[in-house]
Amino acid sequence: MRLTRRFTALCFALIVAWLVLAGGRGSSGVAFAAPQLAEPTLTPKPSLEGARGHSADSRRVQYDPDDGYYDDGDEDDDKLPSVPPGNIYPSPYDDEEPGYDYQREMERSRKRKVEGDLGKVLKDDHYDYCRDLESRVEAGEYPLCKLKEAAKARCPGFAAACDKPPVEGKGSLVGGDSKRTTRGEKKPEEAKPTPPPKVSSDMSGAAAVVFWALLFGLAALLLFSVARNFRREDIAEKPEQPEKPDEGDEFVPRAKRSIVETDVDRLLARARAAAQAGNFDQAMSDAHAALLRYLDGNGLIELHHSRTNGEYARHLREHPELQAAFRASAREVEAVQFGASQSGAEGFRRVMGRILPVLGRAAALLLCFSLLTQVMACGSSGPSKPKSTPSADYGPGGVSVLQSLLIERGSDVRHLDGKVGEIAEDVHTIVVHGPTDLESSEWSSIMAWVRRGGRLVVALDSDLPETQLKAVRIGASCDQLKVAATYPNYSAEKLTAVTPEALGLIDKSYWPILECHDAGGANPQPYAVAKDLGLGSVVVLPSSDLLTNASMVSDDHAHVVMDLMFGTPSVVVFIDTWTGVGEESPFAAVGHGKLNPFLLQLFLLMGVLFWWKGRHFAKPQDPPEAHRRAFREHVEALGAQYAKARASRMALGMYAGWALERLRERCQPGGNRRGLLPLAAAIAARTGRDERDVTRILVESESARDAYTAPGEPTEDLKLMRELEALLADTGGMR
Amino acid sequence: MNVAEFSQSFRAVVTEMSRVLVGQDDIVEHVLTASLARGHVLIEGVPGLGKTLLVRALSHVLGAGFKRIQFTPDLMPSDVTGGNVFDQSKGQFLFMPGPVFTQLLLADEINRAPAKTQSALLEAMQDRSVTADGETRALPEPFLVIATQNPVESQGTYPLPEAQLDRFLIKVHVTHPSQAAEQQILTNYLHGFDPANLDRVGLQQVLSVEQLLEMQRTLNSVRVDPEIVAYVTDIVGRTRSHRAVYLGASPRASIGLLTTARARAAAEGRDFVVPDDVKMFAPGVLRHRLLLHPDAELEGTTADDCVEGILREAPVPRTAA
Repeated sequence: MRLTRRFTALCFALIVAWLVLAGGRGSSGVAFAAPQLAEPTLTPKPSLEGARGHSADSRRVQYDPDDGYYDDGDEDDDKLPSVPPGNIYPSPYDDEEPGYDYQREMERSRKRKVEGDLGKVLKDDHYDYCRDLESRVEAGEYPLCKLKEAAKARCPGFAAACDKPPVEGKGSLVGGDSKRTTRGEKKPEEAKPTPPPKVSSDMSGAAAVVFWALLFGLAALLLFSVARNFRREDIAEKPEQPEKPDEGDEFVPRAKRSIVETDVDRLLARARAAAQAGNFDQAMSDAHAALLRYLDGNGLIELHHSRTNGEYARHLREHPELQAAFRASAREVEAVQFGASQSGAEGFRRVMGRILPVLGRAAALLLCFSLLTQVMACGSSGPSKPKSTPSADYGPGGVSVLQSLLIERGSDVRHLDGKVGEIAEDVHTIVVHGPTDLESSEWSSIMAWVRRGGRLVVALDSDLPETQLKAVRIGASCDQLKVAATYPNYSAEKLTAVTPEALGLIDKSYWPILECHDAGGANPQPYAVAKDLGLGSVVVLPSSDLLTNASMVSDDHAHVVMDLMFGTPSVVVFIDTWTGVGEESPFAAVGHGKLNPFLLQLFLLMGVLFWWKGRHFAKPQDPPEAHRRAFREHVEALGAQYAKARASRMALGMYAGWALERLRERCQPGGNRRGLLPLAAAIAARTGRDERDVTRILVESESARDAYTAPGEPTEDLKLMRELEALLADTGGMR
Repeated sequence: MNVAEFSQSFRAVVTEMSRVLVGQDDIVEHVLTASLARGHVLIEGVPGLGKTLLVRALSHVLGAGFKRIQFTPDLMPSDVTGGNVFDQSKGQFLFMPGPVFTQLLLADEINRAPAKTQSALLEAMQDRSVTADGETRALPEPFLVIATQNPVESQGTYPLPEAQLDRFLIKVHVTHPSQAAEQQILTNYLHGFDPANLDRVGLQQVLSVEQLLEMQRTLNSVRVDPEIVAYVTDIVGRTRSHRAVYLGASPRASIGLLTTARARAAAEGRDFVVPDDVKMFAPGVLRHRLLLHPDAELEGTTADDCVEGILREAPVPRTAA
């Protein structure tokens, strides 16, 4: 049992260690492949022929509301053909029924579909805050409260929360970690979890001395324990010399040897050995004992010498399978032990058949758990594992509503944990949102993938990769959000702006989809723009506000955003602030977390512990046999206790009383007690000693006997006891 | 009859009894086990817990003759055993058997009668016979006394003498039912259950007297390992050296414990006794046989505490502990 316990403990420790190691989000690259071509989409998009090319230019220019393009002052630009106004996707029915707007009818149908999906999504318990009027919003998400009126219809809880003062940190409103920042007031990088405060290594001199003293003390203690263990093993391996019994102990029966085997594996081995030897009675008993020890070790029963099998079985009533197996085993064994049944190979086999599945269950569970954790650990390191549930935050600042709507449409929504490397073949759309720290090489990978036919939506709360996207974020008087005039079918959409940000376009091939206006409805600035790039397309937003949960439940935002998602993408990968945070491997994650020294010390400590506790996986050994101690040892122990209590005078007093009685019996038989002087004379006459010396010994002894509670001098007391002992020896022996 | 049939009959009786006694399967099993072990039962419990109903239902299910004696302070021994009465027509004394001449005798509130009346049952319980005017008459087989007493009331009661107590094989405590059981009792009452009319309930006779006697004889075939005997004597012996016990259990208690253990083994379908059988019935067999020191009683120690402590200390044979 001890072996099993230790094995379990070691396995558990290894699993914990593995979980710690797997805690870092490692990523492994996936095979490069060309992205699949985009499927037809209803997203409004001008044809490539209508787009005007622009060379990369980092100049800051003004947005021209007349043609919807960024104006860098080049006169030639105005000569370029403008984007054709009106419906860019001509309806096939336009020619057939001029009086009926099929495109608008289709939009209404899609809008109803989005509305239905949104209703389903918001029924999720994660959005209880939408229904809870007592919820609160946290400070980081408070800017979204501009949407409170717009969201009131679908999420009254959010609107109510916005009327209350925000709470610091995680509020009741938020289901997960918020990744939002208060844009315009706080840089995105500041929104990332701040590193834990660095612990100063400076330590005062005394504290350092104490610390190192404790450390060395512990190390010394461990080494001593290990050394003592080895010494014990050496002693145990030596043939034991039977202790010579004390004189007079020959009539005392020696205690019967009664070593109880407690190890399950050894009990099973012993049972098998007994069965092979034909002793099936013993074999069955050992097998059943192994089961008992196993159950005891797992805390299911508590072994006690006064408990019966029936009681153990009743203890297992909460585990019917175990109870049935135990009852069956106990019945077989008891029929042999107490009944007239003869033990045999068949009975032993039946007992083992009952027991082994129970004993094996723990190992199987451990193995399953280990495999499960490994699978989970591996799963967390993959960059593009399919996820059937939203991976983002469910709070107002998260994008879980968008993910859920995509899932409702049949999309496979994934989250990229590792660094952006090769993008899988089946990825249709990538959404980069929130504050991210993508490196230029990663952006290059993404843009290359777009050129091969991928669809990219960029809604960053951090600076845009200007060289890649050829667009920048600019501050703007963004009080109203409207669909660009080039999309009359969307003119009825009701939108609400959140943050005063718009896009500055360097690349004039972008065409606007949404524009933000000032309070007077003038001075439009591009808010959402799109362009074709190679075989793919890119949609850029100045922030992730439009994609947030708070936005998705507001006005017609969900409808518009879902159209920005290029119809119904097969696989959508979300990239956010947590992308690339994970390390390449669990070891790198541990190293990055500066846990290597800690784990090394932990493993070292575990190793020393297991080494110390009896060579867990090594040769099992019986517990030391209990010997009957010699009387001398008891006396020595008692003397040691007296010495420890500094009670030498008490010991002398008691010994003196006893010795004087013996001396009187021997030298003054008949009970004639006439004082110490006659006794001294008798002793002197009998032993030939100096009478004065004997008198002194007797007088001092009697004084010690009468004043045994007085403080004494151990050396003097011991000397006097030895003198008395010598007198006793001279007058007839020590006893 | 083999032990399998024994067990089947036992379960059938318990199941039938459970139709009228809700939540008292354990009590029923104890009483039935004692009756199969040819022992008498002392049931202790406050009024209204179904003690009398238990005995009446048992007699009904076992098909045994049943008589009830309500013990009162003015009850005379002859009211229990019967006596000789002069028959003027024949000009001689004729023996008029008392209610003890039955198979199942309910001695209701036995501690309300004085000791001399209680003692009238001594011979009947031990030797299953009654002696009147020098003539000994055997009682019918099987003969089972089930006595009840109220532990709360002490006014006008006479505690049973030790000799009388020792003749009861087991003493059973009847406690209040659980809430669920009490709800079931009320439901049965609302559906017209009348404890005075068990026929109306449809309580069936499961065993005949002959079958009951056959079951009693079957117990002789149940094997008792020497280690079980040692376990029994160890437990009983510990009652005699327990610091709180003034007078420990008698050898009759050992025999009773062994017999009930055999009955329990057979009821479980085993032809051998295991330690659990002994331990299960040890409290019932021993609790009324222990006479505690006054100081222990003052400390609140009960006989059940002593037995429980003894069972915690006595090592069970052949365990892995």
